[in-house]
Amino acid sequence: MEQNRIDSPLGIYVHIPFCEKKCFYCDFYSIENHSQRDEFIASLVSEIGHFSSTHPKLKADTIFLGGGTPSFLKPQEVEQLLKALHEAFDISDQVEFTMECNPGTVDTAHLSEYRQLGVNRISFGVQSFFDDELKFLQRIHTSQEAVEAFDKARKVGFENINIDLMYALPDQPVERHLTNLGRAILLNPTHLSIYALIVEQGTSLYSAVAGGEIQPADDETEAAMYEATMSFLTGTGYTHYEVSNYSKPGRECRHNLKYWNSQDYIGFGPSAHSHLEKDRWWNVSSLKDYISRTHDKVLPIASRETLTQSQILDEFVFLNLRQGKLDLNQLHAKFMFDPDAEFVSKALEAGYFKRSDGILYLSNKGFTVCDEIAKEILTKAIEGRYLAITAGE
Amino acid sequence: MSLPPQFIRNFCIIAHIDHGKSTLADRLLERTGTITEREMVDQILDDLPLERERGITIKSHAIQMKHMAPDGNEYTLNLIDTPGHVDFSYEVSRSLAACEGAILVVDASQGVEAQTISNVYMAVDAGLEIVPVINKIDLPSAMVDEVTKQLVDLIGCKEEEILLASAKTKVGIDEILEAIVDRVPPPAGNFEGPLRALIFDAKYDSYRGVVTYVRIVDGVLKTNDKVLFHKTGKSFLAEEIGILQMDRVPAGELEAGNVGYLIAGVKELTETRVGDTVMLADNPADSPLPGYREVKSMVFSGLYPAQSEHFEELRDALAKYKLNDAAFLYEPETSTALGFGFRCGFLGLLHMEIVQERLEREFGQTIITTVPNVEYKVIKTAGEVVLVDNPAEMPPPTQIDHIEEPYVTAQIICPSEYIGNVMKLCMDRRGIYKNTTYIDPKRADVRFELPLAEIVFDFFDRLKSLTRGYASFDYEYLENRESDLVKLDILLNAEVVDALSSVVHRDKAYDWGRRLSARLRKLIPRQLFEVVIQAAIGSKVIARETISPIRKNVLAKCYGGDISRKRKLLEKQKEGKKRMKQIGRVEVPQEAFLAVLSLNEEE
Repeated sequence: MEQNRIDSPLGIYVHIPFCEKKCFYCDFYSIENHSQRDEFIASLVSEIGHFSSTHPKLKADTIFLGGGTPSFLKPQEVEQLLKALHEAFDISDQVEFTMECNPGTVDTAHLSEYRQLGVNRISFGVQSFFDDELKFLQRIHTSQEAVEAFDKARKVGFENINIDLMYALPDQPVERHLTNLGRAILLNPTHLSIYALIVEQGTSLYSAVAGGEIQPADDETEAAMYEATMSFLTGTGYTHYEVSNYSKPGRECRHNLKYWNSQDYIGFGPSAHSHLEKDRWWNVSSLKDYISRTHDKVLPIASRETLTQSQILDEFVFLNLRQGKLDLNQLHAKFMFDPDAEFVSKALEAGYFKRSDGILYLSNKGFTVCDEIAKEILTKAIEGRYLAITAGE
Repeated sequence: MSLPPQFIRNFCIIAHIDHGKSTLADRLLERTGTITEREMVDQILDDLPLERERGITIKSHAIQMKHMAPDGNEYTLNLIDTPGHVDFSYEVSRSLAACEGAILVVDASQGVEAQTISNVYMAVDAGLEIVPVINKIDLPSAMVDEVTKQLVDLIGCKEEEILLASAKTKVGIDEILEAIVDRVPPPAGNFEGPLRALIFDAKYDSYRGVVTYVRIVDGVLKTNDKVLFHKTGKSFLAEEIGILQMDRVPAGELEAGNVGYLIAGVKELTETRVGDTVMLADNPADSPLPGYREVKSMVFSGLYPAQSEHFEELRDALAKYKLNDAAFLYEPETSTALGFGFRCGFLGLLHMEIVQERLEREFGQTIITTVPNVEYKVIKTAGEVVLVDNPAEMPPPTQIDHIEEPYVTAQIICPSEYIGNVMKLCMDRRGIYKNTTYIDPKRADVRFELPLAEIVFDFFDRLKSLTRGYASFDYEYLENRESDLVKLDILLNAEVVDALSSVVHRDKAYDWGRRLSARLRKLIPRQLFEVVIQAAIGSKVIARETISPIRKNVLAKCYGGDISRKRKLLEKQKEGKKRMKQIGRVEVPQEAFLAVLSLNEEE
């Protein structure tokens, strides 16, 4: 690669697996039994220490506490964790420090303490401003509580706040989704993550859909809602910088950008994923295994992979497209890879993207089929070129 | 070692699929001690895995047993196995010609079926003594009385001549062995005369080359004889001669009346022909045995590698496969849609399926098969006659005076209540009704003349579903007849897809084109760009369907933990796309090339 990436600051992710109540659409690892929280914090501290013994003092400039429900942590627990991170990493003064918060579990005192500890970005899982939708999603908060939580965060000094919303709920009319968006921007958040409801395998939602109790939104409805989202938010001053993410200028989530730009990140906690140069590994999911392994001074890694050049290419293409652009010059320079010209011109004609200075920019229509475009580009390449890289491995 | 013919019995077993032929053969081998129970692999004669799975014998085999009869004499019993399906009727007829008797096995719960009848008539025509056996009498659904009546009507035997058996529970096996000895005549023939041996089967052995299975009719065949294959006119040295037990057992000579094998350094299966006569090169007989016939392909289809770079592999696989199946014909062809491939000729639909399946399973080939078709005789306005076995090669309509297509005589046996359904199906398929007779009060034997092309398309499945699986079906080539046929083209985004062209009757072309387009619309996945499907006769479009562009394919969330998963999904999708054929800008799944076959009448 063009630079020694270990020298550029990486991102730190910490997975807090506890939830008061598991949401029925959620496929992240979380549990409702909190009896092991003390052991868990100790395990995290031990895992972080263990990592830094082989990779001492790597530079980091983002921290992301995700879950689960990180706001479940008491401030002193966050402090303990932070102390371990500061010992292990060389953390920048300009760190972006995000904490995911459930609007149903925050109070002003805690928020204020998190702020004192250095948390400078809050992400609220609001999901909807309609109480019936929140009930359907089995969220523990009400619409009113979400608004109040947001106000509390602002009051204690959080300026950079994200709101998560969901759409394409079963039978959800487009107007309702637009109302949700409207309610959200009234709060003037710096960032919005707007997700279509995904029916993930292994969730209760999945069983309900498989059993025919719930009819998910059809592709046409979902695509229409997605297009409405994009035009609504870009029309109100937000930049659409990833499939589901919108921000005020300069307020893109720097941590998440590391995922999408194939930069380095280290994840701690059960099921957390890490990426360092060409290696990727991920931890065991089960909290019990995680605790027992770290207790035994073993890294709690479930599996790892070393990316081949063609896998790096695949990721480059689809992750860039997910950010709405693909730089063909860069693609050629890095991978000696050129998309099929006929495909590109036909897709230009069909309005999936525009081209300027050798860079493809996805249109809103293009975003709705972004993964399909990635697939086409990767399979319709000039075969000889593609074979050349795969053969070089 | 001289074997007196009065102690030889040559016989075969005739049975419909699943009526228990293989199990009965196993019991005979077991009872005569040819194989012990312990050594027994179920249905030992069917040694191709595919045969075992389908419960049908594809290639005939032979095996010799020794049986000590109650008269105190030891008899040599040669069981010559016969293929059960209509596609292989020529091989059946050659197997029959090597026997003096046939055990007719009928399932007590199923009764007589169409193929049983045609094979019994072949056996009767060949002058064989028929030993009727009702098998599976242990089944609760056995209808011994009804089946007895059917058999009496069918072969005109006496009721008491019918043996009752259950190969599964080993009932009636001794009685069958006795009947073979008592009722099947010993072989006749000129034991002194110059050698004449009938080749009734041949197979390819990767170590020894071609092994031919022969029945010695006249004279003696000895090791080191210089033999002449009458039809091919080629001479070979008889390197090894022997009898067939569980393995080949070499013997110095084979005398008139006996059955065995001959290895003569023949390298290719095409150099021996089933039905040909083996003679001595130095002392040839005046005339060959009757019965050699050139195998004729009835059904044709294109075979293409799923990925064009695997063309060479497919070619090698076909060459290897061909070594063991002389009836399979192939030659290279090129399709604009599918690239380089082969046009292949088969004896019938089952033969085609078997070839495809074996190529995939045993030779690891992933192939695309085009819609099967028959061979058309095209008489051009200039008087020239061309045979067209690929619809894409049909001359332009202006050059055609008329087209002839093969017709068959079809026999369908079904319970009387389904006659209406059968009639309707055959009429819809341009059938000409000939006759109905009743095998018993409940079962009818319906005869039609049908264009072979109409059977090739989904006929048998329709027949089965219209008769709840009770009908059985057999057919035989009749003649070529003039028909009002047109070439129907399919266009994807205005480009003709040659591999989807078909030849259909003019009256059906509109309906066919409409249904085929609709079917393709369902089979071709939505893609980034609109796909227009058209059916056309010449330049006239008769049906049109549109596949609108894909509306949504984007994963909402893609964070640290999702990236590997997403990439793996992408890799899988890329693999899936490799199995698609790119025609113009349209991706067509392999199943689409067989879409015509799955066209449902109700659609």
